[in-house]
Amino acid sequence: MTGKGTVAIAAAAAASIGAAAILWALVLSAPAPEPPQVVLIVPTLEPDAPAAPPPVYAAEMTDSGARRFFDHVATQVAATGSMDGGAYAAAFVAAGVPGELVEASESVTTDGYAAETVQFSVRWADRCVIGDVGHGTYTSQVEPAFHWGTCLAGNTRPRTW
Amino acid sequence: MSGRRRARSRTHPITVGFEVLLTVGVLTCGYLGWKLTPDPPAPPVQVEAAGLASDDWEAEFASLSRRTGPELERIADEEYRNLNTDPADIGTVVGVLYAPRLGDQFKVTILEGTNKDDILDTGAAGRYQQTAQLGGAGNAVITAHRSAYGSPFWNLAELRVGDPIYVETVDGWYEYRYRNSAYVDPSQISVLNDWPDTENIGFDHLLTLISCNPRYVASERLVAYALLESFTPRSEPAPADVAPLLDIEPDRGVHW
Repeated sequence: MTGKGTVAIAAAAAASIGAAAILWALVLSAPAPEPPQVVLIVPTLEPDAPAAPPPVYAAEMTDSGARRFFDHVATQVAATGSMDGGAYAAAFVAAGVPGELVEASESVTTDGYAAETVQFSVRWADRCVIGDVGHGTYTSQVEPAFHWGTCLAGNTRPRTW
Repeated sequence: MSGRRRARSRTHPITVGFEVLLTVGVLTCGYLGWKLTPDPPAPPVQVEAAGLASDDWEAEFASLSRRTGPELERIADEEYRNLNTDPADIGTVVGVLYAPRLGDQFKVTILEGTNKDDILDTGAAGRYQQTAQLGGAGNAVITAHRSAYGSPFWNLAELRVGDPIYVETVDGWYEYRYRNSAYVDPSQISVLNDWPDTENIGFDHLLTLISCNPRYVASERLVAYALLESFTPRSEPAPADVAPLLDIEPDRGVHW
């Protein structure tokens, strides 16, 4: 074998392996946007008076009261690292919220990837508290309900709660 | 003499084979470089796509007739509906998108239409013509690339509930608040409906941002919904998130 041939082979092999590695890295990196969340950083709830009882669900609550109840329930689930919208919905129902007032987005995408963020909500009349877990954190907001009576837009997770 | 010829004929096919591999490797790297990175002279491209002689996007805004008085008041009215009877020409600038969560100094031109070659591949966002007008009641839908041609929506999955998203139009600034996302099959075009995934009329002023998911694979669509929070007419100061970006050219949202 000539020296030129050896050089060509080495260069070709290096270039091909390099290109293949880049492609493979892209393919590998893409399907898993985020591994299932293990540790969620949950904001500390506003410090209540030491003996303050945990907030209790009522059909009518102020925005701040509703959010305090919502965060109290959701952060307990978030503390387990769950990215499962169904687990949050079940926790609200267990805390006394009628199931038809609870919505959650899908945790798994149509092609089976893990959703990078998951939203879930509880509706009080025309007000919604919406929780959002993903990227290692939990956050929530009070927003108006939509005209058609939902808190989340588009198709959401079918109710099993 | 004959020995040398024999030696050449033995190495020749092997060398050719590996040089093909070498060429494929170089071309692959080149393709990735071209596909994943934006072209350096970013801002004027959208304007060329819009068929304008000027590279000043504000000039186009200035040339449009602005609404004033009672007509402008109607825009902030919940009942306001633009029936889309007179859509803008394909490729014209209809707005500018601002979204702090999508990137530092994120500012991307919104062009009318969603044609891949002329609009999305320039690194701009595109408005689906059959959907509601930007800022209007119903479902206003815009789309942009997630992981190619400047990747304006690279960070679309980073949005968190309550995040502000601004759409600047000739009338002023519409501030939306991100609500929730859905991952759908590309065939699920019902997300474009006036109220997504239903046959209902949309009374709420919804902004829907669509891009590909996962990055590079693009086998499904990531759909992010946001609800109008407020409207600031152009006669008033721009929202605080937007004001520092007013004087920079809309870019292609490259933040990776």
